[in-house]
Amino acid sequence: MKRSILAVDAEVHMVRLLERIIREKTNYQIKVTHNALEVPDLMNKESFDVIIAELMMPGFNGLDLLDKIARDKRTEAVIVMATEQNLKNTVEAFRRGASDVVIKPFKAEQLFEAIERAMNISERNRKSCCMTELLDIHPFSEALEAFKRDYIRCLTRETGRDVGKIADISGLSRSEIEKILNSLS
Amino acid sequence: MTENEPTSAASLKAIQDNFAVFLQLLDKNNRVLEVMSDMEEKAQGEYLFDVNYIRQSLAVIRSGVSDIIEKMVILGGRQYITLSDRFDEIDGVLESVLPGNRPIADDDLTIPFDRLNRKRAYSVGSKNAQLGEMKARLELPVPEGFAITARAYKLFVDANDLQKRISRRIESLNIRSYEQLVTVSREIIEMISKSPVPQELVDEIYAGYQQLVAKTGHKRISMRSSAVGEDTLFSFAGQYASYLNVREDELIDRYREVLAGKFTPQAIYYFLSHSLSEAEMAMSVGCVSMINATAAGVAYTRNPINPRDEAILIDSIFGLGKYIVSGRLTPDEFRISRDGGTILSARIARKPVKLINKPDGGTEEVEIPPDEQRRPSLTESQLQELAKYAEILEKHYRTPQDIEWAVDQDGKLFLLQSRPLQVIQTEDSQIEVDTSHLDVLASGGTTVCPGAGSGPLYHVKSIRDLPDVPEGAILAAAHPFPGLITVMGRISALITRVGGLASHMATIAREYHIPTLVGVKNLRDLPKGKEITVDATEKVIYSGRHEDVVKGRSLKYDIFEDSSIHRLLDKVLDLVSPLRLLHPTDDDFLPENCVTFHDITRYAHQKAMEEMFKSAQALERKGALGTSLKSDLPINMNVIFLDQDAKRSNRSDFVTEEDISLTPMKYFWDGIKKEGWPRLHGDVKHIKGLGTSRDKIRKSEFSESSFAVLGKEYMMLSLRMGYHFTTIEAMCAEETNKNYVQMQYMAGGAALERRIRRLKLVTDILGHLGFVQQRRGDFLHSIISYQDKSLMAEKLYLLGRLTIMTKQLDMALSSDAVAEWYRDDFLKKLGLYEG
Repeated sequence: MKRSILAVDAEVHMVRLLERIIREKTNYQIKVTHNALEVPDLMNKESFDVIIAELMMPGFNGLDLLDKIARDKRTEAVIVMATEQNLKNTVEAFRRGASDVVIKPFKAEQLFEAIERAMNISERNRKSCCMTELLDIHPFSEALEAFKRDYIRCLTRETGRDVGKIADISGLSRSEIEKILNSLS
Repeated sequence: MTENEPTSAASLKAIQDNFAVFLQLLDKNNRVLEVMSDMEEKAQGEYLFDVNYIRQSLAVIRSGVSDIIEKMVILGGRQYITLSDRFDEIDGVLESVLPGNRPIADDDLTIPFDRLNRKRAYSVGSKNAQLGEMKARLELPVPEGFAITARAYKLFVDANDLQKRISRRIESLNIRSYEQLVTVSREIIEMISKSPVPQELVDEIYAGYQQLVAKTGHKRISMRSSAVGEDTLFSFAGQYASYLNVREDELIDRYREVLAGKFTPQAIYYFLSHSLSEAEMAMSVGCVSMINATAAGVAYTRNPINPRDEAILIDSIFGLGKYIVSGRLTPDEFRISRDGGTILSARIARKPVKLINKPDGGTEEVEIPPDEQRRPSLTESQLQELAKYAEILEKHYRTPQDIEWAVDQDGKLFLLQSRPLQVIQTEDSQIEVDTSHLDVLASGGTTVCPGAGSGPLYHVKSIRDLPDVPEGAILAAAHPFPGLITVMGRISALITRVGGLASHMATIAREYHIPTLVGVKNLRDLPKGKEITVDATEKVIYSGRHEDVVKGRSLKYDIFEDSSIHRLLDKVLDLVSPLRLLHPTDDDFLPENCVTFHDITRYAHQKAMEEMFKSAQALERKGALGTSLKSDLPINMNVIFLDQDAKRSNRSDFVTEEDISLTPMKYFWDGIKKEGWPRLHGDVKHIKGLGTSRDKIRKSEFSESSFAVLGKEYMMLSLRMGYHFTTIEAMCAEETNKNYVQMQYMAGGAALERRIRRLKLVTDILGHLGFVQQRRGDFLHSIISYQDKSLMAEKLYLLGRLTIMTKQLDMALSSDAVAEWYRDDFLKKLGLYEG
């Protein structure tokens, strides 16, 4: 599955530029809005890997977004866009968990690098989130089953649903892998 | 104390004041150039930025340039006031490109179109201003009309205290959802429609209306929004209200409704962010004598999907033009040649209905008799006339235009609007694809945006269907409808049954580069949910997914060149940064020839240097002000300090070399000392009649008139060396954009031929140093500017050396060969020789 990005900025032209540049120059899916008020709704409907958000937006700003992610224990990594004029707020953005800050105007390359870092962070966030959930499962046998499912799910993300490959990597038997894959779908 | 001294002291004070102004001017100039070059860098592509960036940069430049003009007037007097007129002129055009920079103009409440032009956009909005430009300046057939100005809007808003009431309404809510925004928007529109229009304004609107009726004899008008703070570059066209066929008794209500129309949920959202100034919220309204149209449509001065097509495109229907832009009807399509207006192609569509004016006001749709539905909606001569206007408009605005027009009951053509047309910029990247084996589902129609897309077919009827459109779908709709834009980001192609190249949807599809085909006849028969491939370029729809077709038709767009924000920056820069005034010695180096802000700064910078130079020289003649320089060299020189902290010691009886070490003169002086006092050149002795020899060198040889005017970053040095006279002026600061070194080199004692040889030699060497030079007879002016401080220091050092090297050299230059030998020898010594 393609990894996905949500980009939000109150300025419609900036949003359209972000949309085009990510759609045409990267392999990520991109959803955009120039109305920050739509963001909570969009986030409740689906999850993203990375969110790119302007720091200063009416109604729901970059800091609100970071707070929502922390409060809802979400795994998205956030790249904050700021301008020279509101540099001092970027410190606050980092404090609240932003993975990167880019200062407008910025080069496309800068953004792509920030996106790569953010993708790694969100991947880590998701894994650690899984682990935390696993540790709360009792008894051990059920936790183990849950772990196997997550483990296989991660491998399918890397290899596709190729049972042979998954068996080679994991050392699990083909029949067990097939059983787990069936339970996943 | 002599009588002279108070005058001298006063004149020193005057030049010190001027010097301070001069430094401020350089400072502003530096700042302006910095911002300009930053904008130019961003315009090169690869950068992402927003409108705020352009606005903020432009604000710095605008205030910088107007400061520079003010300083220039202080330095040089009234003659520089012309610059201010040029500034207003350029700024007026800028306002029509990127509106919202000016406060609301203190203008009349209504202005007839024939008193408007495009520079009045800040007062009447771009739409009205363009109509005025077309009518009054280009004398094109534009209907009579008048604008209700931004000041009228302000009068209405202030009289009802609306700004405050709206702000309070918005601030009292913690708006966290789009639904709330819609509610607030409705409340505000309600608030506005209940607010009375001040009597003064009512009277003015009626007066304007009566004048219009008196002129035309027609009683009905159309009323259209002409937003003031809105840029025209983007194609969110037609989003505000316009009312057709308005009656006299409806004028005031409709006026208020047009104003209220500005408070869309989106505008409220911006209001929330406080990012809109009062001027940006302002709305002007255009009141145009209603054309009872028998035919109407759109003319494109270029083919928007093929920049290589030279034809003018005209889309036309019967009745009012609204049904073209809304996509309600498929129009007649004509292609007309530019020269002479030959009809290259005509495709006549069936036009079952038309929109007409109702006798009691408003509009209605009526059916067209079957035998008339397939008649062309324009005659050949009307097409030719329209093509001629199209060419005039494109030439005038120097960019492709999108023109709305109508024909009245008497067959007379009127132009209703003209605005920039976006033409797809793409390289020809089509690859041959073999499609012979593919299953064709449909063919024909009009390409609105080229390219091809594959995906599952999804039919939509209204805005309610849009949230469910899957990613990558092919979207099919009978008509374009508002809201389609919201899914443009996630569909792979768009097809409609009706529509033409000139609808609003078509414009937006091109902006999004969505392959789009309109006029697909059997749209309803296409298989719902099945994978299909739309080849919009070739106007064919295939069954199944065919990546080779998609790839073969894909166009290469340059994201940056092609984005609206980059186009806006380019347009702004076009009025800001190109330099049309080049050399100060050119005959057209005049303030009235300034066409960009850069020209103004260039001109002011040059003139400021001249004014500074003039006053520094005038000071010298007052004499007795300077203090003489004490040095090992036999130089008689007076030094005047313009700022006291440039001088190292507080001694007042004489100046030491140590004292000048804080000024740029240090570098020049180092150069002089490195060379040492001039020796006579080899064969000088053999030149007849030369009275100079080693024994005769006296201190007075550097005449009394040698002097230096110094500041911490400034020096002007006037040297009389034997027979030649040199002036070197330099600015040497940390900020690169302030810096310059200029040198004037004049006369000499030898025969003209030898003096010219020396001048040529000096010119060559200065050329190696990167100076730009102007030579007239035996006068040389050289300048180098905008280099960093260390480079400037180096130039000054080398100039110091060169000054000594070339002292009385003219006497020695008996032939071109000798001159060349000296030149190469000097270049070697200065480390500039390149073989």
